[in-house]
Amino acid sequence: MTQSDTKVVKPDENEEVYVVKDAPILLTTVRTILRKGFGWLFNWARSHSPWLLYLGIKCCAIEIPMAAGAPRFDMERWGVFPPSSPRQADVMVVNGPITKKYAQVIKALYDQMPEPKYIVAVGECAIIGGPFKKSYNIISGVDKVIPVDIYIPGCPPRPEAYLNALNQLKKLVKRGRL
Amino acid sequence: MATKEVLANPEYYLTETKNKFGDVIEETKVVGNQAVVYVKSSSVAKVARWAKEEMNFKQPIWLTAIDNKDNLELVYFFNHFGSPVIYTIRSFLDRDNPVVESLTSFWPAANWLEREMYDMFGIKFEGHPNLRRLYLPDDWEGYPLRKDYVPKEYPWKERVESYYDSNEYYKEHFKLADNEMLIHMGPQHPILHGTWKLMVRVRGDTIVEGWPEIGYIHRGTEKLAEGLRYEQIIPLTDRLCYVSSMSWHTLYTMTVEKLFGVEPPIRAQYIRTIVLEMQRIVSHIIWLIALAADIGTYHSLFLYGLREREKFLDLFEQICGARLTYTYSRIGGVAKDIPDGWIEKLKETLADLERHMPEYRDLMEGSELFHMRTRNVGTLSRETAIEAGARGPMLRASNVSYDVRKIDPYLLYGDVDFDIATAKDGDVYSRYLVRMGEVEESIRIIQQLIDKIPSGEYRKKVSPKKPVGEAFVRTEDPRGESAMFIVGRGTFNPYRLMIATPAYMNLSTIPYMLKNVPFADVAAIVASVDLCMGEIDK
Repeated sequence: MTQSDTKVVKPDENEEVYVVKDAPILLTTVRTILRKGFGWLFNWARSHSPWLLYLGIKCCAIEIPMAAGAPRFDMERWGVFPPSSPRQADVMVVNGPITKKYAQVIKALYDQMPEPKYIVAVGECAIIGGPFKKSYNIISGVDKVIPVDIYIPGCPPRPEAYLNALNQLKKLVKRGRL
Repeated sequence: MATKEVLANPEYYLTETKNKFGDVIEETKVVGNQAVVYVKSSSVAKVARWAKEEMNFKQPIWLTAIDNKDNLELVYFFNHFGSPVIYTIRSFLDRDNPVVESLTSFWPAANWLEREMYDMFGIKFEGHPNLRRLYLPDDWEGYPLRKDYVPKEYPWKERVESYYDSNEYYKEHFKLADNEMLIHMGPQHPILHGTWKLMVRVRGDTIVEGWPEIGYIHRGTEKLAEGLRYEQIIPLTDRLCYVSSMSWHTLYTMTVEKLFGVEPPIRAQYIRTIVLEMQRIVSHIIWLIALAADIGTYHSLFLYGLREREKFLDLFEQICGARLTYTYSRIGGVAKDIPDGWIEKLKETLADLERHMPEYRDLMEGSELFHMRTRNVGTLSRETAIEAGARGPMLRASNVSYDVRKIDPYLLYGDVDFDIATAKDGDVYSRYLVRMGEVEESIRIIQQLIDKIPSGEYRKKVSPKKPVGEAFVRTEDPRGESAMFIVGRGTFNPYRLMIATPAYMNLSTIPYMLKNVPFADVAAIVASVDLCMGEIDK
């Protein structure tokens, strides 16, 4: 952060407030050229190392990521890495029933993820509400709260289905968002 | 001092109760090993206190209520560490203004149980320190488990648009000192093993106070069950706990069999006992690798443990076709017979596990780091563990030798020879020792049964019934004493299904452990509880 794009305001002796200005025009232009001309390169690189945020709500969390990360299925072959923070994630994997109390948390996590972001809904609960659809506290599907790219059906889906979905996701990421 | 035979007789407690409280007792009866006492609502706390202090009923198994349409019926179940008798206090409350005295002043374990009843039925407990909703948001309207409940539109979409933090409560109730801070951990947090929120108040690096907030995946299983037929509920109970689903749906089918008056064939009982013990092994393996991952031995034990688990999952897959949610047990037996060659494969797998156990123990106990992170961390003394309502391995780690399989044997546990694994210190290390001991005992139990499986039918045909009556069954889940209580009122679906979940009680002991501990110990303490949010939130 250079001196030109930050400004230090001191309203109080003990407090420092940093205000970030807009980036300079030259930088934005270069960024736009890179994005338009070499977007395919970025997408290709991204597709080979998706960082997945696992929102382990319920049953499917034991299969994915735990069993899928275990020696038998070993999803790290696809360059997958689970970061602990949504701010580092490319893909969010949502599983389990979405309750009315939890919906706002999912939206907050989604908002924290950097663009481009992809959402995978795992299991019947995250797709349509599953066996709990008729409950008073359940939202029928995570796509009512945030947009979803890939659905993996099953209750719970097998790790093989998930590995297949990872390959589908790769194609999607390669194609790019825009 | 009463002898063991007298203590095992429910009549003894009923006579004592009648002698002590003559006029406030409305009715007494014996149902199986339950001593049921109907008490006037004004004297419930008095009788419960007497049962605790004089009769040695140590813990409330569960508290529930039944909506009888013209009144509410409150039902308490209490267990005894030296006898199979369950002391049951029942009381009728006014439906429009249900008020009863709280038990929390002398029974701290009742805290969450009473909050749940307030949440689900709107029963007000006088003298409760913190009576607010447990599962549902604070501004929810209505009480879902009442029969005339009509769901109202809850403004979750508005909440999603403008992130609403349920901080109001904390802001009002906590006047933090200058050097203190309130930290929200969760609901999405790598060390929490599920969707719940841990609130901690810290002073520097030391935790002054910590308490859990739950309800983020509350599905209302009990309410959903009221609209389904008895046999349709099995998959729902299967999805209560995703680490030990076998034990939950088996408990449910056992309760329905008791209600229907059906005895499963002896072959089915053998198979059930074996798969339950296999499930206990798998569940403890998952617990072990979660603990190992959290305190820093990530890749070695995590990968070994999952390798071991996959072998057991293969066996489960052979008998029922599923890896995680089995739905294997049915009313009157099991869904399918065990296939050819399954027993040999199970023996092989057990031998493998037995051979590897010393390796796993060495990986954990041989590491000095493991001792440093777990010894004298999260200690619950014997008295606190009982008072706070700790269950299963948590309780046995605090030197209480209590196991439902021994004290009130079900299935074939009365015929097999096994020991109760206990440890003395009550810290995280003791919990590790108890669970490792239980895995070894489970291997012993399976090995005793595996060669004796009798031939014959594995499932009895049971036609749908409209039972009238009640059934209460308790079992030893991998997490502790679990129970189900079904009320049938002459229809194809249950009138009320109660699910008593041990992990819920274990989670409610967390405030006792998070007092004046370093912040870094949270990971070890939370992992030692063996949480399963599916069964806690129901």
